[in-house]
Amino acid sequence: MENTVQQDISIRFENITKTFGSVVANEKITFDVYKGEILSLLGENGSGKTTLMNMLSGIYFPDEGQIYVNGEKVTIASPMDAFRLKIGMVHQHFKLIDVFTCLENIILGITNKEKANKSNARKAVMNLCDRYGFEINLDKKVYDLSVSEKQTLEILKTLYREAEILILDEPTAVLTPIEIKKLFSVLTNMRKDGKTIIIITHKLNEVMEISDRVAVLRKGQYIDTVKTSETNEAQLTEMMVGKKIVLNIKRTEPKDMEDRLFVEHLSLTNKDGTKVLDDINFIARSGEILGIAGIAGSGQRELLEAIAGVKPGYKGDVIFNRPKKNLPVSFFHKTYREVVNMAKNGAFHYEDGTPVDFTGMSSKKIKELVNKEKVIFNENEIYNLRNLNPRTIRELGVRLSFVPEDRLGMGLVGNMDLIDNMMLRSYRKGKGIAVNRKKPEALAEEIVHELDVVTPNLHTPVRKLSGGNVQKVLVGREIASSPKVLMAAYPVRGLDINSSYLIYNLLDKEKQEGSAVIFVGEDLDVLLALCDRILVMCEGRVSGIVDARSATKEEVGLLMTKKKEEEEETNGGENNA
Amino acid sequence: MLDILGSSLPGIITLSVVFLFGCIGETISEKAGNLNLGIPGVMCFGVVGGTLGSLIYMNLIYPSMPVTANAFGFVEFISYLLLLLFGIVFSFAFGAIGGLIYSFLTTTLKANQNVTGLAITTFGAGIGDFFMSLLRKGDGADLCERVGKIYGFHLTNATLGPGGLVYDDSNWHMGFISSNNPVANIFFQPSLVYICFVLAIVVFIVLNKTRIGLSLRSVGENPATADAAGINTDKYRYLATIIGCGIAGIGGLFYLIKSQGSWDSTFDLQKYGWMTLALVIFTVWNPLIAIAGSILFAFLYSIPSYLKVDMVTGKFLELIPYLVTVVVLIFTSIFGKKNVLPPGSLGVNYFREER
Amino acid sequence: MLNKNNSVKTLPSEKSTKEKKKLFHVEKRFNMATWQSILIRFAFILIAIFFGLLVLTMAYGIDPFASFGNLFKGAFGNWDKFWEFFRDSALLLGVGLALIPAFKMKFWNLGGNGQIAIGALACIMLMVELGGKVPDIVIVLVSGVVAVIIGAIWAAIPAIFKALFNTNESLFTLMMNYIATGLVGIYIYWRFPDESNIVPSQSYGRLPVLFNGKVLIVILIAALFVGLFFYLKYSKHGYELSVVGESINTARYVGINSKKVIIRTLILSGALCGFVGFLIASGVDFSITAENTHRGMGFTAIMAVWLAKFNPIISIGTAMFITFITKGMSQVQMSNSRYITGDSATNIVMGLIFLFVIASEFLVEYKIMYNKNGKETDVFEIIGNFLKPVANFFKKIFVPVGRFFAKVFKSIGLFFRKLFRISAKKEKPRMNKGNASAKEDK
Repeated sequence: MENTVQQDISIRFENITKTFGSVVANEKITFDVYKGEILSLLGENGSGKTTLMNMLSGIYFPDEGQIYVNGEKVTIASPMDAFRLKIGMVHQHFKLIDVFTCLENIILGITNKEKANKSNARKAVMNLCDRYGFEINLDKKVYDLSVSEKQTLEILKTLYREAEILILDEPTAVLTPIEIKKLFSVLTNMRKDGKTIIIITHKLNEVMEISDRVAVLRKGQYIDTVKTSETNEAQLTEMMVGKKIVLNIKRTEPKDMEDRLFVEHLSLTNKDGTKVLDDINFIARSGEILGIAGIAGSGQRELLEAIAGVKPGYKGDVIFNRPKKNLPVSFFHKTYREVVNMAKNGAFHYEDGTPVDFTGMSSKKIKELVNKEKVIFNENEIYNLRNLNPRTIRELGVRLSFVPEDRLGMGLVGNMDLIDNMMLRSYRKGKGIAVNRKKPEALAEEIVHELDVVTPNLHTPVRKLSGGNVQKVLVGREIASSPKVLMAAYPVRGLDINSSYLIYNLLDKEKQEGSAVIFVGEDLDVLLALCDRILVMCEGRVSGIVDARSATKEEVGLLMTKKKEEEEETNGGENNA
Repeated sequence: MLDILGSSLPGIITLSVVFLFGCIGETISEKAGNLNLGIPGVMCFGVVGGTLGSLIYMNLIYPSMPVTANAFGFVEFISYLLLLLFGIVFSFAFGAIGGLIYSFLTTTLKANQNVTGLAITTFGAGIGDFFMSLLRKGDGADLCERVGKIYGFHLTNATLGPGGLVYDDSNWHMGFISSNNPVANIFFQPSLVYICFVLAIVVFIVLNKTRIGLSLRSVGENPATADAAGINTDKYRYLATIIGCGIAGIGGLFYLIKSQGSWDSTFDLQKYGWMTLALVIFTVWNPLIAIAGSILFAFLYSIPSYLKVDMVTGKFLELIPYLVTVVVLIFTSIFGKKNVLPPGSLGVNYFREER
Repeated sequence: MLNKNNSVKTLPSEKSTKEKKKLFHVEKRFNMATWQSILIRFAFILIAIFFGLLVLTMAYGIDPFASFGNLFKGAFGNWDKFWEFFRDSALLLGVGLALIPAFKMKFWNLGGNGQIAIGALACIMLMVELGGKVPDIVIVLVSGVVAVIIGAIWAAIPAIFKALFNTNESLFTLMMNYIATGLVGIYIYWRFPDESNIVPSQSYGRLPVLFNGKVLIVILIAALFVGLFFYLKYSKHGYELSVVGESINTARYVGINSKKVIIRTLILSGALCGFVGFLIASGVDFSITAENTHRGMGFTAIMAVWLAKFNPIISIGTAMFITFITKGMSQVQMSNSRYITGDSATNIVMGLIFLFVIASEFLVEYKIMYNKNGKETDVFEIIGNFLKPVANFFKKIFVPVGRFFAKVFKSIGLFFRKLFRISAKKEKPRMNKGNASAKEDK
């Protein structure tokens, strides 16, 4: 593959700048893409890769700068312009119309009458399939397609439009290893055919496997382009994150470990019949951080949502072991009747160790004893949280906090101010029909103060805050209830480095306070540095649980693709270019 | 029973055409994602336009147009066609203005579709009442009646006679076979009826079998995707709504024909407009089903007066279309397959640079 | 490397299209002062009235200035009209209040008309059937309660289907309007076959007269307003419904049963509409017709609360404004009754105002950037630079006045809060918890 030297320039970006409001997504980006090569556009989440490519495909228009295609100055003001220049993009979220057939999706938007003719199109598409090795049924409706079929359809769409330059945005995020292999062979065929391919990705092993050259973006700025054959993963990582990752994450030794949450045989089937979780078993312990690793969409989100009660309808058990041993009972979560019944079963003892017996006592006396904290639990309380909704879980007195992936869409209400968002979990507290805003206000004030949330005042709608501040507000609220179990899904996604470290420290602090912390992350380095144990998921199953202090990255990476190991022996992420 | 059907069918079909025009128009608009609640107002626009166009023609271009001549010569025939054209063009244009306002507010200015639609309805009702009373000032009322009658002419009643076309209107609404033959009555209708039925078929074909229809539906289903495929979503939404409203406007003109030129207020027309919205749901956004649906609605709506039932039963029968629509609405939402559900982004505006 | 430089250098002359940037360009706006947005809307309303009167003037040669005077005469011409104005504003506000909770929840309740009509029907039926047989006050109380219940049922039906099957609520409620008015028609023909489409005026079971026939209605609506205001702002239900309206996912996340909330809120919405129907039937019309009893308020109120951004306090103003225009325009019409029929003039002016205000909303939410030589400036800024002195002048006058009123309202609010003991003990929750488990159980 030494042909890159002789190659012409296919695309040239020159000083491309794009801002959204006050956010600079791309700043003065200049680089070239050669004809007939596979170029990886590498960068972390939020580094501006997609924005840059959206400008090439006409979705956005650059504020400044110039794009050249095949050496000519061009203006790409709309997707139509991009088609005319034979640029096609496969977006991460597929742009397909569910109720149309595949064929209709392929000819959608084509202005040439000949090409838009269905029978012509069918023939031509079948040809393309043969040439590059796609498999697809053109008369299927899109809502009946699998994810990889949809991706195939998207690629066919661009090819049918005679695209010479093909942009793929995170193409492998949703695919199984076999499908990835298939995709890569198709891409290689296309490169042989002289097409220029740009792959947006943040997965290094795939970069090394498929691409000829790698262009790296970091925080909206262009870093450099290197030949894949002349680089290695460490160098690319360094370019991507700026410096060698010396993760300075604080990790304290776990103490007072106690089994807190038992997840047993948890299975969940989606509405469309696909199994997203398959017989999950694990134990989360207090005083430790359990990390969850896996490729995106392996069921991490569903697992947390199921445990939190947001996604009911699963099979299996989620058992919460509530630490009550040797603590006094109260009427806060137990009714009088419950306490009496439990006493009958011999669940309590007095301070001096004698068992509690309420027989013959007046109710007044019993209440007095309880209120004076004289009645003490013998054992921990066990709750099965199976298919309970979050409110019921809360009313049971189980303090289970959950920082969901979708902050403004699930964890917070964007249009409400900080105070109202503080109440989301607790607004039902107190008697009467009126909500009490005094406590949430104090809490909001405290969070703003302690976590340095940058906000004009407490009455600002949270959607107006920046990503990091939004996350601080959310995490702040969730840990304010001093949870026994704290679950966080991708809590640092899109955050700057300082906010990220703040979140790591908060999680570690919670662990010290005795919470069982479950942390779903995408960055293996972080997972290995922060967690005590790591549970690795693969296609809705637990493929292994490792000790984070001794495990290596390779070990975890292997587990992430474990299920397909037999078929995918060579998928180790080595250089094969 | 057959007698009743025979005498009522023409009336039912004329009423059904008012619904059908509105329904076709609204279907086009909704298929492109615009839930236009302004249809009643738009039909009021249309009736003003149609009246205005016809009056312009009759006052300025061909004042001596005969109304109920038994001998209907070639010149008259042509002038009749021209009058028809004037009426259609003007009512279409006025309806389209309503659509233009709606599109401008919802597509360009991204205003809420429900609210905009209601505003258009209010405005259209005002315009309708106001200008119709203005146009019918002086001898305008008289002219309007003439217009209504002329439009009521059945093309089929004109036969080729010795002096050109001869028009026989002695059997109003009944054609020349038999006044009591229901089958015959189905086929002898004002020319706009045929235009409307043909239009329904054409619109169905355009929506479902052509490239333009594909693009238009894609804009209504998922504008972001359509945009990415290079379809100018704004253009399609504008055009669909404007054309749709124009067609609904012709429905307004047909209301004038149905009432044979008499005019009270926009009250009834607005009611028909709302019924149109129900009809669109009832026919699951399919203009072919709409032909049958509109006849069914018109049948249910007007059968009481023909059946000579007591008022209570009659009023109850009038309710049935709405009840049926509700049932259809519920059924499609419970059991509906994806292809009979409302367009994916119905009622939602699209703004590209949203992030 | 040389290669790529050359290829670029040789070509620019061929196609040196300058940056194809549109002259105008739209962006979302985040920072607009309240006074600015009010000013914009106000300006647009004035323009709309101007256009409306212009149409009338051009068509009939009506003196626009006299019409402007008539506008006020119609609303405040004499004491009777004055009170009528307040009564009608109150009724419209009542419907608006009924719709606000539903709209806040993003449930498009277009069925106000039907809910009013069915409530009024229930009331009239009781007035007719019970009139003279039981004391009036019993009729009033019973019919009030029944109207509320029936109205609630009427709104709950679409809500249940929305909650369970996600049935399109705007179309459903729209259909329910016609079913309701149809039922009214059926009742009239069944019970009064000889009357022409109207129930004769009933003398039993009328709302008691307080001072004059209008004050009581205003007072009742005012009480309703206070109740609803607190319901929305300070009650748990109010909080829940705004969470559901903002994001169903968030509701799921905290365990709010959004189905229950939707149905409950629509029951409230329908109940209030039914109550307004009751007020109209027993306090204003004492009779019922199929088409006019609701006065189209189910739709007008949508505009009123939408203009107010679903804020109950601002809704008072918009309801009064709409009533003012309606009353005023009917006066304009009356004084020109030779030309204008029906309520066409009202509808034209009202329609124009709605359309213009809808258009003005765009300027409040988005800013238009003017692109000159690659430099973008907000169009408003350009205009503002011209108008700065004027704006400053107004700012000087209005901002203190506004602040004053804000203070007054705030103290009134504080008073009520104290009255209803809404404030609670001040207690700081702790962020750091050493012995967390012990704390919880207290």
